[in-house]
Amino acid sequence: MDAERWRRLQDLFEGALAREAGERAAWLAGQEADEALRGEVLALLAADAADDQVPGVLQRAAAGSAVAPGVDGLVGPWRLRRELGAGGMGTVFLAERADGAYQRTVAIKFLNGIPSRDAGERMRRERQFLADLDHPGIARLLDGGSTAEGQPYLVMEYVEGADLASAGRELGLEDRLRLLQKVAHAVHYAHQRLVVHRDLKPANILVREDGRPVLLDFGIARLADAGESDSQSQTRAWYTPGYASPEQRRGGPVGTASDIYALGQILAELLSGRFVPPAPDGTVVPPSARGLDGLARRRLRELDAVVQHACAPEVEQRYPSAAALAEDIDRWFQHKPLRAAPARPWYRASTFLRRQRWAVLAALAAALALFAFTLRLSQERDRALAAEARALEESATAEEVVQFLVSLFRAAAPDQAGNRPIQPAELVDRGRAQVETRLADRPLQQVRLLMALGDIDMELGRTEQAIAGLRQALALQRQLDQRDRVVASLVAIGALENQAERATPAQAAFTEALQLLDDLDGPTAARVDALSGLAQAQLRLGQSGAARDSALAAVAVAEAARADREQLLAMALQALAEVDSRSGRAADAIAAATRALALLRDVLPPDHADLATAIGYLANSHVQAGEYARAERLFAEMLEIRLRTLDRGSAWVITARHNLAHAIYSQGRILDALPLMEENLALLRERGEDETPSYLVALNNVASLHESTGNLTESVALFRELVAKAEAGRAQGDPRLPQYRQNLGRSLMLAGWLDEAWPWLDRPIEGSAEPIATVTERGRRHLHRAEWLRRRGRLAEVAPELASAETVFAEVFEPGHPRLAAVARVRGELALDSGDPAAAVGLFEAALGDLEAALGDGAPVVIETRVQLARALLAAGRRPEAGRVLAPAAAQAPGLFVPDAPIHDSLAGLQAQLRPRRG
Amino acid sequence: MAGEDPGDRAQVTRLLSAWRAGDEAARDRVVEAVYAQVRHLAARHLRGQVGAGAVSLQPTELANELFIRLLDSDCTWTDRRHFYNAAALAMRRILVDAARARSSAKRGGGQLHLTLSAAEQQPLPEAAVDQLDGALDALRHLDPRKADVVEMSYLLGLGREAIASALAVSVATVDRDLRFARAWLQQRLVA
Repeated sequence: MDAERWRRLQDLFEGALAREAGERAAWLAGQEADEALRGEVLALLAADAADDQVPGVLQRAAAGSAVAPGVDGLVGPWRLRRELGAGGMGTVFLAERADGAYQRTVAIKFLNGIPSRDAGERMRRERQFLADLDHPGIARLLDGGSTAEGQPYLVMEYVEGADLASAGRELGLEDRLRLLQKVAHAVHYAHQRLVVHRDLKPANILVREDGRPVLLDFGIARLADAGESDSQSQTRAWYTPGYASPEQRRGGPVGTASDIYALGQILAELLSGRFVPPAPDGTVVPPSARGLDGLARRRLRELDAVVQHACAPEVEQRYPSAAALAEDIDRWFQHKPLRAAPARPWYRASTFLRRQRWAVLAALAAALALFAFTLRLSQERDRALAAEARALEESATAEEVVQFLVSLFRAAAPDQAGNRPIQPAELVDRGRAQVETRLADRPLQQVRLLMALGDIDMELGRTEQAIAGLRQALALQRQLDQRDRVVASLVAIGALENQAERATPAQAAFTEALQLLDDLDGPTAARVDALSGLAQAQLRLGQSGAARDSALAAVAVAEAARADREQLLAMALQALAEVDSRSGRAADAIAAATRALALLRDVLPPDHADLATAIGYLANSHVQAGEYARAERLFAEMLEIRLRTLDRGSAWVITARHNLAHAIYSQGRILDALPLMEENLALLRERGEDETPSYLVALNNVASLHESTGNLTESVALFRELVAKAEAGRAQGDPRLPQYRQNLGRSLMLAGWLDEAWPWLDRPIEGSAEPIATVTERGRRHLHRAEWLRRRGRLAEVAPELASAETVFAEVFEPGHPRLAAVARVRGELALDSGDPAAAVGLFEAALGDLEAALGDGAPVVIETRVQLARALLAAGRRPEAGRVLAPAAAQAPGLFVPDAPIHDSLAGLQAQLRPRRG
Repeated sequence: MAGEDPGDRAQVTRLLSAWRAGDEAARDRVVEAVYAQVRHLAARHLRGQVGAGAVSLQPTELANELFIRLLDSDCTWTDRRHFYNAAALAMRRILVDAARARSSAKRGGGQLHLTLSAAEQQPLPEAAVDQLDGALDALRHLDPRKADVVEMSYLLGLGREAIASALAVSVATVDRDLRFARAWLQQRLVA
């Protein structure tokens, strides 16, 4: 091309671009006489309008430049033998075990490109999914991983055979149909495990020598997608245009229906021996139009209908499952009416007659020969017909439920474009939404599904959703007057309300359940459930006497139970343990909880959720007895069991982790406890539960930990959030509010904001809380007021407050308990302030001994007490002893307190005084 | 650690001024230096990506890193233009070499039994990259500036202003060249 022509080409190209698309050809004709040049311009214009291919070519080339291992290379335990094929998605090698451990030939597929870490993680999850497919009709995924360069690979069963298209050519029509049925069954198997192939085509289906078809690359297209980055994977997907469903080609969500579409197109090709691409709207050319003949016209039309039903452009119009497609082929063999065929009465009647012709003839013969029986036969037939009608009616509702679940799974699972893993919670939410709309006129089915979904929510630890769903079911059950069901729902709701720390609605639910049980003479298990639950609700409402009566009643009922005695008894004993534990009867509580755990360990597998619960009860009883190390070991076991079966953010796990952290904290191992607690806080916020009682408990604990590390800025801020949220939710009557207020006041006081602290500390403790907490808070109130008065310099008023605190604490705590040591510490400070260092030394020594015994020597409070003791010793003129007491505190403080904690100033001051003075 | 050596940059700067002074052999040595750098960076990218969470290897990312490593920010525009030419050439060679290595490894490979999903309908990258390479040569023969513009855009990921200043033309010219050349290449690729 000369320079002149080249320039002219560009001018015409640009001139045409300046015109509307429709006018360009005419404009060109007017501008340029040379037809060849005009043709070139038009070609350029077409290329201009098309998608730019160059970046794709470059990217694939770049991805292909990844260092793929060559023949004889080693990948894991496999040695590559020869390349089997290569393409846009990757390269496949034949490989053998390199270590000779056993003889095995496999196919290894290297996927192009190096995935990001997230994408690699997605691929790993996806691979696990695929590895679970274990079906003779599906080539197994054996292993997978990444090469040293990070290139992902998959190790797959190596299948020898001919591809479906060539294998089909050797077979008769019926055998071809049966072959496709086998393929459909394999596809159905994978669909039931929520795996979609996404790229079904004859080349991906090999037929072994023995005639069994094997599907290759199941789910691999999605796996390759999982390896892409999020931003790119949305529209890009591997598929084959001739077999891809319209929604897949549009880049829409690809589900099981897409595979069914591909099966239809494969069937048409298999039957006719001809591949014809589908029309742009997804319509396929049926087998008869591809030249299939040799069949009666009606039979042929039926096969056309099967293909068209599988390949309907709209997802909803297709077979609901691959198995349904296979079944329809069965029907075709048996001359039954097809699901695919239009429901015309004459059609059904005529197929019925054909299918029944022998039966009809036989019946006629019988009728003629044995006239006497005719009447009886017809009566039996009537009875049989009536039974069949009933069965049909029932199966119709059952079918509805199944259809509902199928549609639910198809819509939510297996394979949305976003490459997200399937979240059960999401599935449940969608299900509930659909129950309300799709089953609105079928309350029986609604109840059944709502109960099932509620169970799932409970298992997932989604307490609030479970309660809402069960209350919905309960309302329907009341309408339908299903009283035994009402009891079951009430008990379940009560248990969940208890779990959500809302005792009042829990009590109401259990009380109503027990009344109904009395009226109905209901089952023992429900009675034990209801009594145990009631005991827990009463306990939370501060009615400890009534709670103990309820728990003992539950134990009595359970002892007499005939079925499931161990579990029922264990449950009742746990309720009793909780009641005893929270009303200060620690030894009784431990005994009951130990017995319950022993009963369950005998009958339950080691991972069972109820076992974890039982361990939790025992651990809590130890906590109440102040035996934190024992409690910690038990809570750790409990958390381990929970984590083995549940997500780290589930309410069960959060509770277990919270308890473990608390037991660790109680031993003074603050650095071990803080991360666990903060993890829980974050998880609760993620779940949007930052106003629930559980969140408040966790918030309180984290704030307390910050306070004990001397991080008072943080603790004050968190306690403020805590008290504000607890007071806002007061309608539910949070029994811990007095404790939260004391904590806020205390942190403010320690931070030196005495004026602001006083109203919180001075506030009377309301009596509605659980007994032991009430007592403790009353004692703390006196203790905190004493410390406040001391800090204010009102020394004369301190001693009476301390005496009150000691009296209250002595009601519930054994001598030597840290709470009593806290009283001694304030008393020691008072002695120092009053100029009596000798008395102070005695008080601090006693407190230190008790605290070390209870908490070990590494707790912040122990360090603080050492500092106090050192100061008292110094004031008493016992310098060397002061130095000896202070040394370990000075060594440990940096690891236990934040850098700007007040204790560092005290330490530095004391150390300065202890340094040898000159002169 | 060839890639971390500031000496590379000094060396490239020296080679570029030799090239400016008329030493045509210097051009080949710039290409060599760039080629070596790209290989090095590519290998590093491949290793580093799994941990760093990056996406799969992109030619333009490589090129950007290349400029930072090998080009003084205050070098003359002639040097810059020369360097871009050399870099684009090196990128092309790398992509084509990789593709050829793959296709030669494939010859003598076994009969296709196991198919790769989507492989049949997708243009194979080696064929496409060869085509693209040939088309770029043909374009350079017809219109060197347009070849410069597309190479700088596609292979080096340079923006239109950067290309305009490297080639000392207006941005509008770059836009026109790019659109025309893109359509022309596109047509060659599908043909």
